[in-house]
Amino acid sequence: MTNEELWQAALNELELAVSKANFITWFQNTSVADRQDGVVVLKVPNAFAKEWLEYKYHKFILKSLRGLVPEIRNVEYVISSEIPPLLQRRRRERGLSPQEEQLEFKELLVDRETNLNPRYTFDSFIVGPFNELAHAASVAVSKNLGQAYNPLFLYGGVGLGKTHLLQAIGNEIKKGNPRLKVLYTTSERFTSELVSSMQSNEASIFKDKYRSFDLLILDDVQFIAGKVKTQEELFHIFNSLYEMSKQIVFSSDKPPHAINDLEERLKSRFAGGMVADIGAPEYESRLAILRSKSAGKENYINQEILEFIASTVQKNIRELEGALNAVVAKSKLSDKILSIPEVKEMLDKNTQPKRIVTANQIIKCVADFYDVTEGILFEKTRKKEIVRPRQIAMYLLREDFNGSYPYIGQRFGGRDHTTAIHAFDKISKEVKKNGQLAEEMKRIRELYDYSSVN
Amino acid sequence: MRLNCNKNELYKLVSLAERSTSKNPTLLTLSSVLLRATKNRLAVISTNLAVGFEGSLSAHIEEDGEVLPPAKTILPILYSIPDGEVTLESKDNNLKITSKTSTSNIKCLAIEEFPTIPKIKKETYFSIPWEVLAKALKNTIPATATTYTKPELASIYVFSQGKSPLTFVATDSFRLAEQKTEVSYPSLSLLLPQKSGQELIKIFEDSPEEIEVVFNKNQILFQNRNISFLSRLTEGKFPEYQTIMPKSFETQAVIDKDQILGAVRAAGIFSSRLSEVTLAADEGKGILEVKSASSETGEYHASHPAKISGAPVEANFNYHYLLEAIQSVPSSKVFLGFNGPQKAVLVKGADNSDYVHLVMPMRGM
Repeated sequence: MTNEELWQAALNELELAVSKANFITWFQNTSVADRQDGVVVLKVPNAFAKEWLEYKYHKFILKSLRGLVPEIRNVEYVISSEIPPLLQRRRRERGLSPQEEQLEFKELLVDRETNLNPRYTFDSFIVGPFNELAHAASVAVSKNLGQAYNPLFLYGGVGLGKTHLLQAIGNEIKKGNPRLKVLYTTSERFTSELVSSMQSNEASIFKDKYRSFDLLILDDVQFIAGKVKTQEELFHIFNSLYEMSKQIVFSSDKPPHAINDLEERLKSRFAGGMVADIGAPEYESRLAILRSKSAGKENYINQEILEFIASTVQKNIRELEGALNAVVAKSKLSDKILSIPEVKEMLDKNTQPKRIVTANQIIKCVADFYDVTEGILFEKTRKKEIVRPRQIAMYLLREDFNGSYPYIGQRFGGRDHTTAIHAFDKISKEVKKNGQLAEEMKRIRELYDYSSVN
Repeated sequence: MRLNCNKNELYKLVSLAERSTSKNPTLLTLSSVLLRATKNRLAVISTNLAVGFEGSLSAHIEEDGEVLPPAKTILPILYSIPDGEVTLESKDNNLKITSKTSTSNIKCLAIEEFPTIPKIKKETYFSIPWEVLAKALKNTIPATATTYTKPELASIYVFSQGKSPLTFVATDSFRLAEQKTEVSYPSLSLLLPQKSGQELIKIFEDSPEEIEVVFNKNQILFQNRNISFLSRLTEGKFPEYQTIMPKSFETQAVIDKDQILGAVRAAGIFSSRLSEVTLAADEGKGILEVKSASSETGEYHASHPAKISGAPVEANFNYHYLLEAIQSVPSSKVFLGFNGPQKAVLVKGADNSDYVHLVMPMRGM
């Protein structure tokens, strides 16, 4: 007889022995926690029930249990206030209240053990051409932990959903098997934990902890660049997890080989499983994202506005959401759906200003980046190490400064406008094929974005 | 049972006890109060199986005994009796209450069915002055969650550790209140259900003495000379809230408490359905603005001089949250610490950090 069957049979008997009111009050939500050596341990919902059963009904309980299993000698009682089913039924869906505009402490939603935020799931992730590879790889990993792609390395710019995917993997795993040990952490937190464990002479605890996970998710791994000790620890942890076929997932803002100051052995390991990138969403995906985010807000927004936002805010999903929220908030306040010019005016104020940069800044940043003097770019030399920066500078002048070809030619030592056209075409073709170049371009743009802010 | 006692004192205890009865009809004894007379004390006891109440008053007892009248009968009867002495007498499971002008005979329930209030072994305990406990409860209860989906957030987290004194914390994930006390205890961590906290305030309000607090893993007992109140504790872990306490501020403002309180209250009149009001601080102008606008009721705008430093900031808040946060500030000057329009504002006294309240803003323009 299993414990459940035993207790059920005993309850049937007890129900006849006590009044209905008493039975409901005292025996509801009781169960057998343990049975060993003739001692049955009963789980009771509160201290009152414990007191009552112990002093009033103990004899009845023992007698009926003995009638079923003669070896039982004694009954003990423990309090266990697991949420009774009555309470669970009261759970309501979140987000129905008019509180949707109220911001929360996000940190408090996070699971203390895994660091996962339960809000990030695959269901709430919108898949488009720009992220379908990363999504498919993540789903594959969550279905086949440690076997499909190990490690999985996702990279892409800010606000494109890396963290969402990463956490979705963790949540999916936790949902499927709560006993698996999962940890989501950022490389920054990883480092500070390592440092404090070293300070308190508990480095071995740190090592054991990280080696015990079935799934380790390390976000923003680019920040370990230049941190030698962190890289060394990570290397060893990686190896021991990998050997045991435990899953490891990384994210970064750039592909492994483009992370500077990262040991070769780590780079090659990062790239050893599956590397998937998340690009910028194209128009259709942006629109799909806006549609899903605006569900339930139809009174404040229409198709036209969504299309307008999708076409205006191009770079990142976080900004897209911000813009949508701003528009919804404004129309709530004014109690009407905004017109397109009103939306436009708002978005102009809110979204990141378009890149404003001068020709001089571009040239200076290119020269800085390739470590050549500005002057040499204008000279009539055909040395390879000069020609390339010059072409890139021309390309950027056209792309970001909107300079005319004759003007660009003129800037670079009175060259012909066809030279500028040639440079532009060449670099634009190459940028599409050559990841290295695209990365360099991104860095140069970061450089002048940075210098124009200061 | 036969005794004489003061009607007013008895009425007070029975009305407190009534609050801890259960309206659940399965066990009728839970909607009754137990009167027990022994050794010149009359005890009034009630429970709803989540909490237990016991209060006692001195009485002239001629005969010991127990009786279990339904709370909804004895309470209005006592209320109707004029002040002065009453006589209580039990006979054949009836309770007879006699005053100078009236007699009533209340049908009672069988005592055997009344639950025993569990005892707690006095192993871990501390005492706390009532004013300190009351202040800590009153200042944190508004920030507890009112839905029970997360029981740990519908509770007040009471803890102490090492050097940090006994501290009360509550959050509903939109705001967070923290009150430190002067009481020290080596190390403890417990979750008091919000309802029990509210009950405590009502129960001990009229007897401002030192309260002794005894607790174990599942239960906590608060008692003074005459009254004891037992509550279950919430199981679970309170979130690690220290991580959300800001350590620095982009903008700081110090303003007169009454001024900002008045302004926020007035702005609340014109806030939209979302209870949204705007705070704006500008160092250059040295002015803290409080504004609100609604398409139905109108607009409000107030500018108060304030000591401001840091970047200009404008953020929207639920004015109920702001009011509750500011009201409890113990000083005449309020400190506001902002970190931009998307991060929580920290509210506390300008010269004191025992009470700290964080309020998350609302999304806005």
